[in-house]
Amino acid sequence: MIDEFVTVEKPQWCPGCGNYGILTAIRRAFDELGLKPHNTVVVSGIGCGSKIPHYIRTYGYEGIHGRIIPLAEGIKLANPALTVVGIGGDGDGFSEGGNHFLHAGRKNTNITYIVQDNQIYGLTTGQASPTTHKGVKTKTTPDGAFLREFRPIPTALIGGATFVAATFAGDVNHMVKVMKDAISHKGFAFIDVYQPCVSWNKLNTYAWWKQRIYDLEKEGHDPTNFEKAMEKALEPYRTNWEKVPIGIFYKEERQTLEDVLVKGIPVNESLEVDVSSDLRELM
Amino acid sequence: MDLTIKIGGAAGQGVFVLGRTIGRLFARTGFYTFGYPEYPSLIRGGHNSYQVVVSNKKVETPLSFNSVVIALNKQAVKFHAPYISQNGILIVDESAGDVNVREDIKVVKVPTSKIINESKGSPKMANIALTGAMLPLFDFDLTILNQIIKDEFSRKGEEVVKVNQLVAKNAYEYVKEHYPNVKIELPEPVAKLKAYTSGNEAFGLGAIKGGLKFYAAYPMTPASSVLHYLVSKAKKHNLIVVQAEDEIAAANMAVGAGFAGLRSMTGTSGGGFALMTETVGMAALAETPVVFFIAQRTGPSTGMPTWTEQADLWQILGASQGEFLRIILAPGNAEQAFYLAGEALNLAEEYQLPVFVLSDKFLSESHYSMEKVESPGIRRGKIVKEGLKPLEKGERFKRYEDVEDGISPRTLPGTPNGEHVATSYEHLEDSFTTEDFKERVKQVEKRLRKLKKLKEIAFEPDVYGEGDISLVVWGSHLGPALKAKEILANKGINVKVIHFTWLYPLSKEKVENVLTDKNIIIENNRTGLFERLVRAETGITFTASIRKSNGRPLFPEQIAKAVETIVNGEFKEKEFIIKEEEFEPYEFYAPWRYE
Repeated sequence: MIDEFVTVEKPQWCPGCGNYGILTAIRRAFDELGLKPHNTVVVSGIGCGSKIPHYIRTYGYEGIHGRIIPLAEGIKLANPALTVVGIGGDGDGFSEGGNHFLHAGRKNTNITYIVQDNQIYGLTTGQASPTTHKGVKTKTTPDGAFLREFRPIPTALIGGATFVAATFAGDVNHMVKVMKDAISHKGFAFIDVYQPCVSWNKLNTYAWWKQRIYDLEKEGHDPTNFEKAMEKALEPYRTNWEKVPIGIFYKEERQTLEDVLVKGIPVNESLEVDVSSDLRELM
Repeated sequence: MDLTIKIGGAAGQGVFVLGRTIGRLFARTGFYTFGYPEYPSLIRGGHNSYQVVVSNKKVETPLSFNSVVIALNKQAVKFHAPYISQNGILIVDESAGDVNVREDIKVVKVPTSKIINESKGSPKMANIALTGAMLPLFDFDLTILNQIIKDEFSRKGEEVVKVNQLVAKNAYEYVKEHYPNVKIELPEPVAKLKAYTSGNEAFGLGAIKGGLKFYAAYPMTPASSVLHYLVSKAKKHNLIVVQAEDEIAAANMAVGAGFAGLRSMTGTSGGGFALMTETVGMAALAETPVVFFIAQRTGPSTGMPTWTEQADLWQILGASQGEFLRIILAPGNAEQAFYLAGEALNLAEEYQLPVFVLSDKFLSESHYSMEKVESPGIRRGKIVKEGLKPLEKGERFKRYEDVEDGISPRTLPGTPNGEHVATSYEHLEDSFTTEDFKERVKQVEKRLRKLKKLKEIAFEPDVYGEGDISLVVWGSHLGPALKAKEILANKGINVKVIHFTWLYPLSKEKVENVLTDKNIIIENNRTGLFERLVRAETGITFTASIRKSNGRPLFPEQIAKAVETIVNGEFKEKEFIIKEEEFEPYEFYAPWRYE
């Protein structure tokens, strides 16, 4: 029942914000996967979208800016029976949390990481983000953004993420499908959600995205082919955002961090330990 | 009676392996043994040394004199031989060439290369040869050394064990034959020891005994050996040990694991802890249990990475924005490190706040005799697993319920009807965020109410001995202070030692209970950081302060001399700063001047 995942708190985002669609999609994905609220943890950071754990009735951790990934990894390692989903913005994930994003694929912990990528800082009222398009005027770039955009999908691929996808906040059905695949995937799953910000980003509107996005699946893209995935991942930059693929770029099975480090479910283990032989060793 | 053996050589020559082996040998024989390593921040080149202190009474400090020096090279002779005590012994590897030392010193030259060749060993076995060569001086036989070799090398195969044992035997027999009259007197072996261990290993094992299941860290001297030790024990005890991409990740992982219900910890030194700072406040506001192990080194910034100092206290006191409670503990030896590791995990879960265990290079890397192995047991506080009232639609568990003692019941993910969000925002009782002034104040007061109980359970400072004058120390400096007390007693000055292991929050009453009229506070820093904390928390001021911040601990002879000067009224100011040139020979060699 989708009602299971609703809380008494009403979201406080701007009317038309992409986060409403994302919230609906997450609740639906959880419901359709048959997840239980008590076995699910939503981890967020700081930003408009990071308020989302309060609107989904599961366990949650609303942490600090940029630290979603390690917080989620710690939770998952401690109790691999939990479904752990991290969610936060582009500033949180690609700027403040850049190092964790770089290393998450290598570790390949079985968590899902969703980035609400609206190419702007919303909560801090409209500064440039790592993914702000060149030329866009923001509070910190009054003459237009002048740095090359950060490239989340190619970076995730190079970083070793074992599930890499993009989706669009204006298409709930597509988001639900991608999120369900990501959560079902065993390993670090990254989803870049193209999300309009109606208050601060006047360039990347719903209409702007709709003109440019197309579905990889409908094109017959093979998500097991890394080189093809990278080619598709670079397409927006090579076409100056004329062609923007969404869907699953890449997917592979690889050893997870829990596979190596965790035996069983540690939270259920007894804490009584005999250390007498360890002491003898030190003598 | 104390006896000391100083081992010196170039970095890479295996000084520490030799030192620890000799330390182990004495500990297994039944002596109280202490090992003190010194080394510059280099992997090759530079001079390393290790002092083994042996006694028939508990000893936990380096000492100024050397009964025996074992020199692996010429530099070691130059640095350490001038400080060999009267009629002491110099054991020197023949490769060091001619040595020119005081006439009263007996020189034992060991042709290690020749012995190794004849035993068909490898050049790396010079350590074992010199250990074997030392045994006849004490009239020891080879039994214990052979056992240590077996314990160390069995995993490398029977052949390796045999060759090492042969090298030891041949060196032993060489010295027995060529130096039959070079002997040194030992006290009776009376100690019944459980381990000869570094502070960090004791802390790691104490944490395992205390139910630690998760440790995430990024390497940083002198905390790294906790990470190494726990990794080596991970499979055996089902621990999750993660080398994270940075300290921020390590701290957040530890908090995540703590939230999910594991006893969890991260460890670092001051520089790494600076990066963890923001996470401390998050754990405090979300009331997630987590333990921070911090091994201090000489700061600020990169400072002198392999040297010691007690100078990060206020960094920890002030870490993270806003006002919140935290607990700071500081063990004084391996036994206390073992105990407090478990107790820190207990306190973090019982009081749902960040707990710090403060060590330093001196405590972390020195080796201690462990006589007592006491652990505090496991107390997990208010975790609710069953019997939760079913939640209404959209309702959440009151994770931050405004209860009288301030410690709200906690549910772990996986528990039905316990759903809530641990949040870094100010929040309502049911964990939704709020900016309502009344609710804010309610939560501030709820969290602060834990303080009452904390002051009740705060450990009273430990008092050793009796006297009108108190020497006040904290953390790692218990051993040097106790030895200073002994030296002073021989001079007719009776002092007691007051040792703080619970640094914060302080109970004024408990501090007043133990302090006397004349209190001299001794700290391994330049500006009196704990003195300032005690004054701020209790209003208590000290008669005088003895401080040192050159990168080495305060040696007992230095403390005794400073105390004597103060007590005799020869020193009129309040802050007695120990300078190395005034205290020969304790600061006698400068390893960074290695040629």
